[in-house]
Amino acid sequence: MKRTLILGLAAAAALLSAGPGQAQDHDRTNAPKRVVSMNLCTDQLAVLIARPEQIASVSFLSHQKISSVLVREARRFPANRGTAEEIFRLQPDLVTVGRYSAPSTVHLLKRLGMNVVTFEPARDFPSIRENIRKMGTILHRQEQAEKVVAAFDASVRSARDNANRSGAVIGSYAANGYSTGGDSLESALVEAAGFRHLGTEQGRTGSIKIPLESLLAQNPDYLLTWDHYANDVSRATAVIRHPALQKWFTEDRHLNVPSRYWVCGAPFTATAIHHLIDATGKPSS
Amino acid sequence: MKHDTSPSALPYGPFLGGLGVLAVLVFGASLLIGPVSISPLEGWQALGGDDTNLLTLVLQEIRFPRAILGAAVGAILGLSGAVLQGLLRNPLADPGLLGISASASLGAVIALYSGLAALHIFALPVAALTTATLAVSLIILLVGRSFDILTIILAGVALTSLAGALTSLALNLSSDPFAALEIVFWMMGSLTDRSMDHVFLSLPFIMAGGVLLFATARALDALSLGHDVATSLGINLKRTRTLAIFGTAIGVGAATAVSGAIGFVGLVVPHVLRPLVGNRPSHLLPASALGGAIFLMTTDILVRVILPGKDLKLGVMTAMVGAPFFLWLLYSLKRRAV
Amino acid sequence: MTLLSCTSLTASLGRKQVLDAVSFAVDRPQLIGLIGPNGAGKSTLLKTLAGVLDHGGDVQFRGQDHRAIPAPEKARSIAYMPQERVVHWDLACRDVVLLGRLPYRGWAGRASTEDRQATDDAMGKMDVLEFANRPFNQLSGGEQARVLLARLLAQSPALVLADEPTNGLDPAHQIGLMKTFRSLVDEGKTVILSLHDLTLAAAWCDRLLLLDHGRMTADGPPETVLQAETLRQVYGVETEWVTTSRTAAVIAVDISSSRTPRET
Repeated sequence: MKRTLILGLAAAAALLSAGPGQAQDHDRTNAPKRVVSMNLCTDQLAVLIARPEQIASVSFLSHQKISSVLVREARRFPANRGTAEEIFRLQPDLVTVGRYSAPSTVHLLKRLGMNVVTFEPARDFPSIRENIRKMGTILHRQEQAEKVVAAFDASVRSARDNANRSGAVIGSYAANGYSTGGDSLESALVEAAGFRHLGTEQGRTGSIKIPLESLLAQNPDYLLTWDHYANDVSRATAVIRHPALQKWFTEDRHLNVPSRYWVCGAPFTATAIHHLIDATGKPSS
Repeated sequence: MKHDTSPSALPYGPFLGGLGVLAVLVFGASLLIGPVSISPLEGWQALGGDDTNLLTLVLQEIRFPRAILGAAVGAILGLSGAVLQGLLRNPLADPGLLGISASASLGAVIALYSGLAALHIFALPVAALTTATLAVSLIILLVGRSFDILTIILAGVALTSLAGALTSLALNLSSDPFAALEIVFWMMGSLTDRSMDHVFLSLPFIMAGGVLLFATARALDALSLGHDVATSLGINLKRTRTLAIFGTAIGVGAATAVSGAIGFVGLVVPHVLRPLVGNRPSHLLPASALGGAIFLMTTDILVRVILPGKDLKLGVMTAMVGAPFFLWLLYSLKRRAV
Repeated sequence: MTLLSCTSLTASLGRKQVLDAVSFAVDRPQLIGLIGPNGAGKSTLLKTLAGVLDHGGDVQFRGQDHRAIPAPEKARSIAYMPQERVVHWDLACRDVVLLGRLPYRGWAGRASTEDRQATDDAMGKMDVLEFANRPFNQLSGGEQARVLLARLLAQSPALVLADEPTNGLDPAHQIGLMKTFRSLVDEGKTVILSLHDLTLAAAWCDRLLLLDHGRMTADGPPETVLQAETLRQVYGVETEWVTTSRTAAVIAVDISSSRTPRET
C-alpha cells in the first residue's frame, strides 16, 4: 500500500540528485545569475531547476515546513519577505513572482526596471508542465526542466495505475468555510486519484464559501482538509473543528492531508495523488 | 384612573408578553431558516433524532447554538445599552459606540492568539471581560456626570480606535496566517458556524452580567430626577455604578468573545422601545433585553437569507440599520439642545 | 423631641469650604426661609441636610446622628427638591410623582395600592391630577414645579427641603406654592426653603436663616432678621419695610435712592 508513495518520493529524489554537473548548459554566460523568487511556488520550481549559484533569494514561506516541500533545499538560500525595497537591495537580474503576488510591489519593481517574470498558478497537469518548462527557459536550464517534467509524468503515471475506482466523491473544506470548485488543481488531483470531485459534481468553479450545513447536506464520501490548520487557533479555522463537522465526517472519511503538497503545482504535486490513494485505503494490487 | 402609563405607552405587562412571544417565534424561525431547508414538522421530528441524521445534526449543532447566541448576545447588548443610557442619562450611550465592545474584542484577540485561550475554556471570556471592565470604568470616569453629547461621542471614538488599533497590532504580531485577516470579524461580529462550545463558555457570563444589570432598575428610575434627588431618595449611586460597570463588562465582554463586536443594538433597541414603555428606565430594561434578542436574531436570519454564500458580517447589517438611525438621533438631539 | 439640630456644621465642595460652623435647631413644625446672597451656601446647606453631600460637625435628626441613619430610612423622612426642575426622560407626570414612593418599595418591588393612593393624594393636593398622563416636559414651568412638589409630598416626609422653589414662577404661582408649604407646616411638617425674594420670605416664613459666606449671620423671625443694617452688610443694598392695609413687607431699593428714613 505504501508502494505508490515510495515510488513518488523516489521520483522526487531522483530529480533533486540531477545536479548541475550532468547538464551541459550552452549559454551559461547569458543565464541569469542573481534570481530572486518572491512566491512559494516559483521558489520551489527554481530550487529544482536552477544551478544553486543562480539563486540569490527565495521567499520566507519556502523555509517553513508547513508550507514548503523543499525546506532543506530552500534553506540554502536567504529568505525574503517580498517588500520592494528588500528585493531591490538584492540587485537581482531576474525576479519571479506569482499572479497573486502583491500587485503594488510587482508594479514598483517593474518601474525600477527589474526583469520581472510572472507565473500563473497551475490549474491542471499541462499547466504544471508549462510552468516547469517556463522556469527552465528563463533560467537557461531547459534540459533540467525536461528531466523534471519526465519525473513528474512518471510519478503521475504510477499514481494513475493505482487509482481508486470506487467513484467516491471527495470535497474539501478550508478556513472560513471555503471549498474548492472544479477546474482546479485540487479537482485535477482528486480526479487523477480516481475519485470524483465535489466541486465538479456541484458544477462550482473557483473557491467559494459554503455554509457548514450545506457541506453536510452535500455529503461527500470523503472530506479533505489540510494539516496546517491543525494547530491553528484563529477564528477562521474554527469551523474545521466544529462539532457538527467532526460528528458527520467520522475519522474514516475525514482526510487530513499535508497541505504543502497541494498549494503549488509542481513536480511533487504527484505525491498528493499518492497520499489520497493511500489514505482512502484502497485495496492495493 | 389607570396607573403607570403615559400617552404613547402600551400596557406594560401585555407589551412585555408580546415581545416574549415574538422572541420565541423569531427563535423558531432562526432554527428553521438556512441553506438546508427544514420545515417546522421536519424540525420537530429531527429534534429527537441522533447524530447520524443530517437534520438533527444541523439543528442541534449548528442552528441551535447560533440561535441561542443570537438571543443572548442581542439581549445583553440591548440591556446594557438601556442601563448605560439610564445611568449616564444620555440616549447615545451604547456598548458599541462607547468602545466597550471593541475593547472586549481586544481582550479576546490577545487571549486567542497568545495561546492563553487554549489553557482553559474560560480564559477567552475572562480576558474579554477584563479589557471590557477597563473600558467601561474609563468611560464612566470620563463621561461621569457630564451630559455633553460631544464628550460621550469623543470618548467612544477615542476608545474604539485605540482598541481597534491594538487589536490589529495583536493580530499582526500573531504567527497565525489567518490572524491578520480576522480584524473584520472582531470589529464587525458574526455568529456564523458557532458551536455549543461557544454557548457554554459565554452564556453563564452573559447571564451573570444580565443579573447585575437588572439590579440597577430602581436606581435608574430615581436617576431620571438627577443625581442629587436619586441620592435623597435613598439610592446608593456608587453601588449602582459598580453594578452597571461590571454587569456591562461581564455580559458584553463574554458576548463579544464569541460573536465579535456588534454595534448599534444597544443604541437602536432602547431608543425605539423607550416611548412604548412610558420612558421609564426600569421598564425599559426587560423590554430592551427582549428587543435586543429579537433584533439580533432577525438580523442574523437576514444575513443568512440575503447573501447566503458570503458570510455577510452581522455588524454590517446592524450598522446599516443603526448608523443612519444614529445620525438622525444626533440631529434631533442637537435640534432639541438649540 | 427636636426634629433637627445642627452644631458646628461644615461642608465643602471640592477643596472649597462652603459652610463654616453653622448651628441651628428646629423643635417644632415651621416654615423656614433660607436667605442670603448668591454663593452664601444656601444650596449646600440644603444638600447637606438632604444627605446628598457629606458634612462635618454634628447633625442630629430626631435625636439620631444624621450620617448613621440608613439611606432608605432617611429618604422616608426627608424629601429634597433641587433648584433645577429636570426630568431626564420624557416621563408622564404620574410616573414622576410615583418616584417619590421609591423609598417605600422593595428591591424590585412594584408600586403597592398604598403607593398609588399616596401618589394620587399628592397630585390632588398639588392640583395636578389633570396632567397625570401628560409628559412632564410638555408642561409650563409653574405646572412642572407643582408636579415636582407632588413628588415631594408623595414621599410623605417630616422634613421638606426645597431649593429656590419659587424661581422662575409668576407671582400667582409663587403665592400658590407658598400657600402649599404653609399648609404642610399646618399638617405638622417642617419646611426649609431657600429664597431670593425677601418680600416673599418676610410675608410667608415663620423663621428666617440668613447665610453669608457660609456662616449663619442671623436666625429668627423675619422682622428681626430683615433689619436694614443687617441686609446692608450682607447684600449691600438698602431696604425698607412698607406697610399696607393688609401686610407688612420688606422691599429692596436702590442704594442711591435711599431717601426716606425707615419708619414703621
